[in-house]
Amino acid sequence: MNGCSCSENKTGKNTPLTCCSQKIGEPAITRITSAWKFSDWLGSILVRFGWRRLNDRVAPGLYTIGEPNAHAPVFVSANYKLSFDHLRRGLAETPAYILVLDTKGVNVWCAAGKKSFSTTEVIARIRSSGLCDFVSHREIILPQLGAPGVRGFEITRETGFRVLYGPVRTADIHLFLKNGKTADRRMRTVRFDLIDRIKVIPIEVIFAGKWFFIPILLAFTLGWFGIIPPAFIPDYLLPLVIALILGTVAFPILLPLLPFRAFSLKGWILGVLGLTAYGWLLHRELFEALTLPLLFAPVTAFFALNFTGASTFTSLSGVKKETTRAIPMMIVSCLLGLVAAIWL
Amino acid sequence: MNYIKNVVTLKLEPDLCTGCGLCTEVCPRSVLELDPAQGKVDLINRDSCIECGACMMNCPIGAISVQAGVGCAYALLKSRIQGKEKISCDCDCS
Repeated sequence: MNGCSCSENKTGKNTPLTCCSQKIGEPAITRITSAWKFSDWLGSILVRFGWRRLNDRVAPGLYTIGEPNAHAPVFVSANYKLSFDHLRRGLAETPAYILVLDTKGVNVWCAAGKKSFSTTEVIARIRSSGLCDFVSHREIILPQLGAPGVRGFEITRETGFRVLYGPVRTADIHLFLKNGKTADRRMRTVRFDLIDRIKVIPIEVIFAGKWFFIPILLAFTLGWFGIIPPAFIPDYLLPLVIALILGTVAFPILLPLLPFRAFSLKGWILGVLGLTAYGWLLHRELFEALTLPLLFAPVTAFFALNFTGASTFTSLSGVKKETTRAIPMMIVSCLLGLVAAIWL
Repeated sequence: MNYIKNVVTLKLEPDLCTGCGLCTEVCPRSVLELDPAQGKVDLINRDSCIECGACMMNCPIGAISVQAGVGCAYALLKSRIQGKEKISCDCDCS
């Protein structure tokens, strides 16, 4: 392969082999295929349920797919296995290099936010991998969602590699390459379709389960054996379970259909509707039935608010505004519900 | 889908903008658009901004500023409970 031509180092002196000079011995390169094995499919499902979610990583470094020559494109990825697997599957058998960064096993977008998918990491990995020895061009394709963590122009200045941003979804990689490595507006725009929202439901349920599973199980058991009044189950326990399901399962599915913009308000409306319907089914008196939404609609609203973290269109400023207003209202609602429950 | 209106901290200095268009390439929400006639970028969809900071990071002349962060209530609440000033995405998400 050609010698390294990215000769500008940090001092600006024309020292050759700068971008490759930090490698020790022969750079390691790993050949992979694009096809997913059964274990990859299984892992991609299990990780959605939290299994090895923080430990599902691939080794950082340089990988090849197909039989890339010196002109083959170079894609950059995080070392979260699901990110890496989606990239290699998106490439199909397109001969390419994949430069995997050490993002501590975190996906591209979150790693960019945490700044482990960073300018310094890209520069260091280009240098340590000896990439310049394998390709004749000076161009790397970063995932667009990595952009919050990197300054592309600094990478170019430091290594000589021009930074291109690829599409948001790996399924568009072929079209991106066909379009002369250009992502159109559709490819650049992040979506949050029904299938995307359904994929994050298990993690939402598990998050809620960590807080509520044992108390609910304990209360059911106590009610079952008559240690607490059996009416406690339909009066309080089932409404709580309904509120949790509404907040963690129904809310992600119905998100675009719910009125207003604040997640907590959307969730509160969903909770009020669901719990009022439950009260109505139990033939409660109107005033008595009001205790359920007062007590438990804030639970739905809270988990709806929590869903801001999973969504792809919330801003920090917006979250600050709604959290500051919603949390006190949730507490007041719960207290009023408690008073009503004791009084009635 | 759009989130709460009139809250984002995104600012563009039109006088500094050179119209390189890098910010439009990295914005995942199509907030910015290059106006070829003006040779500058416009904020066409400000309320769609998620304050990810990609545009600010990739603007070579610093024409864009935003208080970047994660739009995650859990991260915000956790940071406040722990008394941290900086709201960071440390919820172990991956």
